[in-house]
Amino acid sequence: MASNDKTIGPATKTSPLETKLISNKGPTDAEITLKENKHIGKMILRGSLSEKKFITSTKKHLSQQFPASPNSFYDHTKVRVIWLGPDEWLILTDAAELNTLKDDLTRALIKSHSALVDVSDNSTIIEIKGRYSREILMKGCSLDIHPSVFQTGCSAQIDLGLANIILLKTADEPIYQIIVRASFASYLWDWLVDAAHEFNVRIEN
Amino acid sequence: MLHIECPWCGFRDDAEFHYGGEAHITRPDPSTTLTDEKFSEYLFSKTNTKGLLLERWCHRSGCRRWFNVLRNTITNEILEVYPVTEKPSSKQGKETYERNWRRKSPPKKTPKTDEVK
Ligand SMILES: [Zn+2]
Repeated sequence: MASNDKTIGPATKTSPLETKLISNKGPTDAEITLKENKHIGKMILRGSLSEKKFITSTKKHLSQQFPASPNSFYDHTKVRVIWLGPDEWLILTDAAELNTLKDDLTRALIKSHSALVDVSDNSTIIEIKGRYSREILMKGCSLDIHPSVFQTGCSAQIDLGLANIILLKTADEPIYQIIVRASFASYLWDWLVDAAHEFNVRIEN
Repeated sequence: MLHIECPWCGFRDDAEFHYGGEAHITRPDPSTTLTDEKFSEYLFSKTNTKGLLLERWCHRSGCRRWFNVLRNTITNEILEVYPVTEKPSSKQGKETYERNWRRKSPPKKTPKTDEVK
């Protein structure tokens, strides 16, 4: 194998898109910006909403907004809680803060019928920004994501291209975050770059 | 393409769903005397209706939850969506549930061997 084969990363490789990201490529006035949000800690929380202990513990550590309503997410200080199912949530936080939150939650949930699992390396987050970002997503997503129905705070678990993703509308501007499994990340990145080809694309690192 | 209403995620394309066959089939308890006939009936005898059918679907690409659906197999019209743990609540759903041979009368005996070619 050639020693300059860039697909085999060194031991310091930190993200599934490491080989895809070329620092600040593209015009600064681009209509579309693609970037990866690296180093986000992720946890899956499961538990029953009919259990009092579970509700009080989660509300204490994840704010009174818990549980988010279906197909939505909320932000509380440095934590983002995404609804995945009636008994399942995805918790995002800075990688540096992850262990503290995990310990706090684990301790609080010790006597409840629940599960908390670190899934940080299971997926990565791609952010697509710019006036045509919805047009790009529409090329491979069957969901109606018009801002009148898919507003800030909305989330959806859906297929984009051939990859299963969690789509978040994080601001009123046309910005979307795509949570995709690590093994699908490079495929989806190529798909997005290709779908954005007709526009002015900029890749940020 | 079918447009199926997931009880959690709302209307989505059928490509996002996984079909789970007929609903309300109980696996016989193996700890009791279980005959081969009874178990093969559980495994292989399906209603195969032309008309209203109670069936299971899973929202594979979305919330990954199972739910039950009352569907007309001729028109593909979906008349009711309800939780897996419950029975249908609509009039047509209740009728379909009660009319099912599993609750009304056992399936027809297998044809005599000389009829099978
Ligand atoms: Zn669903």
